[in-house]
Amino acid sequence: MTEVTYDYDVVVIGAGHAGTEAALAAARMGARTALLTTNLDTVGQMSCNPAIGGVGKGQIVREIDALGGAMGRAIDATGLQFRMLNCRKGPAMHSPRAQADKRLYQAEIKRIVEEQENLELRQEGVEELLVREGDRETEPPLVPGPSSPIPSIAGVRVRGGATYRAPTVVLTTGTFLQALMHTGEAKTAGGRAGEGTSAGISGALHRLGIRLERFKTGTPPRLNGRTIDYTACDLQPGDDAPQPFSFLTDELTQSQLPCHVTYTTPAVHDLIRANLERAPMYSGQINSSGPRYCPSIEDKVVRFADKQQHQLFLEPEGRNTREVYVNGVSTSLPRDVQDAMFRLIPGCERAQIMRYGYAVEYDYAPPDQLQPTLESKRVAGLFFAGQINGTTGYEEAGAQGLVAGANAALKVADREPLVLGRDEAYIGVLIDDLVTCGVDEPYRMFTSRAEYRLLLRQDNADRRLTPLAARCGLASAQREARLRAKLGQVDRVAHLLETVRYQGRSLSEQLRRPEVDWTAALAMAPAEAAAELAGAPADAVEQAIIDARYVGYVARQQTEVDRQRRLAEKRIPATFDYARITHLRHEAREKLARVQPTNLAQASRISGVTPADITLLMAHLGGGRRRSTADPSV
Amino acid sequence: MTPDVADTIAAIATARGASRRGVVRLSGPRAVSIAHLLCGATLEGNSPRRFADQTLRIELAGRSHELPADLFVWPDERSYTRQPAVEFHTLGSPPVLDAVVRACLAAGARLAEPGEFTLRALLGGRIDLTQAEAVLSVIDARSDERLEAALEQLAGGLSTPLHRLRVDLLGLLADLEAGLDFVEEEDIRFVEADELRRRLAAAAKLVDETASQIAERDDAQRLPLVAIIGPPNVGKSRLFNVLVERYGVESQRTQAIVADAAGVTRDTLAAVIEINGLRCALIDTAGDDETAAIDAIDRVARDRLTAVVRDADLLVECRRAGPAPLTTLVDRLSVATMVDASAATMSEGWLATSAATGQGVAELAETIASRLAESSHGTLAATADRCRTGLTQAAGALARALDAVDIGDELVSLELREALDGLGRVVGEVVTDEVLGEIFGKFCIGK
Repeated sequence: MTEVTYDYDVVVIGAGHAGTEAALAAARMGARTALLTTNLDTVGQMSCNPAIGGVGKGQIVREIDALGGAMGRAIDATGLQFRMLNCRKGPAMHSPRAQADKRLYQAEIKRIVEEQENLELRQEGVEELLVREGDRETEPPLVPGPSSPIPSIAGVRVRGGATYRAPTVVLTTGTFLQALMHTGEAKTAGGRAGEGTSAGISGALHRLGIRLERFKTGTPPRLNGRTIDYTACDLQPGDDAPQPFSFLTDELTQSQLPCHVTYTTPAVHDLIRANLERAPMYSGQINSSGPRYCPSIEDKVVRFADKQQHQLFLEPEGRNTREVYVNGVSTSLPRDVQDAMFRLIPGCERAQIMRYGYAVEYDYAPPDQLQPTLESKRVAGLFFAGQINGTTGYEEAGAQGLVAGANAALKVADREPLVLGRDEAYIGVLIDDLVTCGVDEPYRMFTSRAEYRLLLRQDNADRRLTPLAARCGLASAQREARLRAKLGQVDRVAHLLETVRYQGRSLSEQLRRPEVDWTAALAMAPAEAAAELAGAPADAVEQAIIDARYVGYVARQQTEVDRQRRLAEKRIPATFDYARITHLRHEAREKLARVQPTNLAQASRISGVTPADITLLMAHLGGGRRRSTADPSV
Repeated sequence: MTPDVADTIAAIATARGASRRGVVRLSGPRAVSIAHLLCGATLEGNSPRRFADQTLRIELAGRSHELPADLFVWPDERSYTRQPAVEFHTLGSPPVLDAVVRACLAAGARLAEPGEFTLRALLGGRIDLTQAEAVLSVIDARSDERLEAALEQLAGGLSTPLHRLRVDLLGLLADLEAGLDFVEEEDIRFVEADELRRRLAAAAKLVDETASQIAERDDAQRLPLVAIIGPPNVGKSRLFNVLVERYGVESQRTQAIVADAAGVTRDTLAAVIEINGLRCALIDTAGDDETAAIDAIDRVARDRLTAVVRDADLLVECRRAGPAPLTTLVDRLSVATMVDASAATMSEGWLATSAATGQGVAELAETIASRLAESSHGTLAATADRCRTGLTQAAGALARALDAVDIGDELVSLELREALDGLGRVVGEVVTDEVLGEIFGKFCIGK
């Protein structure tokens, strides 16, 4: 039997939100890329809520878009409700969120993938990871010891005996590793309702010496909208002037659908309490930890026992379906309790459940085993992205996918890696948190995780990232040209704001006073300048106003950014032996040795590493090169 | 604070304690311009130079003073740290040196961390790792506990108010962040502008109170306290008398400070002594016989003794040398007295003295001086500096936070983080996980 082999630069396993962005990024940069999925009909599937964005997450989508990714364009094309959250707060807090037509979104992502040059999408089940041994690819041998040499990835073998050879592989298997679903006492193997699990990859990772741990997450039930009485619920409409996610989208023209809001009642809480011992989280059937910010309804009832009601959001899953996602009631209670629960919820008394809620337990690979490029420290050329790194959320997954795919392509081309700073992007914060601190619950982005929140805004993602993306081949010429045009307009408006004065103060200074808005500022300008300002494009005006208002704060944040940059310039060699620093505390030594930070700034962010530890480390990294005998005293 | 060589750092460079001459050192890009701000003189020149008989303007006890000083200026990398550096050589009194450091901080310098000058010398290639080792070895794990202990001793106990302040600010930050990050969630109670103003003002008041607590009870001004303790009739008082006879200093003012600081009255003897230029208060305590029955007067005496033992920077424990060897004591200087007696034997780890013959008295004095140099008195003063710097930073940030209430919560949050950063120098940094933990503990998050 002759075995079929294919040759690629980058092989991506899994075509979810991480996998598609990874494959698209690698292909955009010119790498010959294969995207392998067990099911072509679930490319870009929204396994949980039918929504994109939110506070912190919306900013990430804008960044993915600024880097040439697909997520923003796909949601603009298929969204059915758009809202800008936190509108009444300052511009750094504005966060776009949209409800998606789930099926259309998925189809749109698949189409974008299909149309990408250099990219081949294939339905394949990956059974084994291959490593290089001399001239040939082979299955990984037994588990290596801590001092074994680092193997290189060589490709993957798929069901049916074919081999994909590639110097880089991006693993984005989501919740599918050793996945186990729970609904009450019932357990089913599989990472998503109706689908199976990827067992072979877990074994291969284990043999490569990669540590795996377990998390749990859950989803709520879905209802048939025909059986919901919406008149008993509150209405939640979209924005009147919806704003797009993609910097390439000029305007959103589709009609918008509303969401609805209802509440649990004390009777629902009593029912849940009476059935707690049948919930896997409480019966001991599930031991792994879930996210604190996305508790199941049983968790909410137990931990916040004094609350009389919890809000439930009824979100349509699409224009051509009546299926409704019930946000806020994630649960793994048994079916009969889920049915009984809705009988007691206003508006849902007669609602039919179309899919029951469930909890899923899955393997993830603790991300402190990764370099800042998302390449494994244990296997050269093997990249990890998405939920396998212990994160949640489509946005977090897509962001990692894009960075991992780009770095795989850069590695093949032997070019400088792409590592975004914490001062450059939420994506930089995300990946730095993952590889520096690891995770102890599924990781979700919050804006409070970003120390330079005022710099990382949804409105300036293109200014922050598109030039960088253009340099490494991620962003198209069209995107770059649009940014250049916009920046030219911003400069012109900013120039006018700086030079036009009113009562001794420039318009910039005027705008810094809370009571002066754009209209008031225009009234202060002489006719000619006022006309030019009034005619400037809205996005350029918005940028210039934000720049003017935040300028003092941004300068202060920049001082701290510069400080961290200087610290980041102090590189730590991968081979550095922390045992050499005799005075280093045991805890610090252990953590530094595990994380292997690449520079002093990263080292200083490891929890439990103190400034005193950094001082010692700095001394041992930098000292003693130019010993002088000069006497310092005078 | 992570060590950044672009910061200009300041610290007292001589050993703590009252001595005739003291040195404050500055190092970093702005060293020369900061020195210029302090003395007003032009310190130009391309090579290391001494500027004698300068006048420094400093604030001491709320008043402006002119302080004579010699300045040594290194304008370039020819200094010990391989960067611009200045030394102020002036009077050795701790409050004066502290005031010079404070003036440097006010002019833009940052308080040096332990070992930081040595680190710069090492990074600049001035010394090698072996030479730096001794200094670096003091930057170790115990510093947290020492800091906490110093806070407890400082200004009548700063640990509680500072931790309370940190808890208050963390709670406020969590409430603000919850409103920013979880706008969609049902359970969030948004902090209204009025409430925000009230809570910020309360925090600012607590910062001010704590700052004035330090200012009023300026512990750095007190002399290091050396207490002679031990059972009755072991010759403590005779040893005290010999030390005062040889090293005593006449000073009404310092006498008063000694009596005040120690809370001692008639039943305890105190005197100021000076050893090798280092001054300290020496206290002779009434012997405490734990086995004897006690009356009310004894109880008062015993309470005083407890206070002295707690506040002392160095305990000199006396035991009469006898036929049996003495067991070694930790945390104190162990002194065997009356070693001239016929039955006395030498004990390992004990300093042998005799008030009668003068044997061991000079050695005892030397040991007291060297132990004091490394005792907690230095930590106390440095901790007071750190608290002052941290509270100043917090006060400034809270004032700006109040101004930002009308502009936006994200800006108030930025200032709150800076205030917490200031406190973080003394009572532990605030990390994101702590803020999130507060939020998840308080609110039912989870759409």
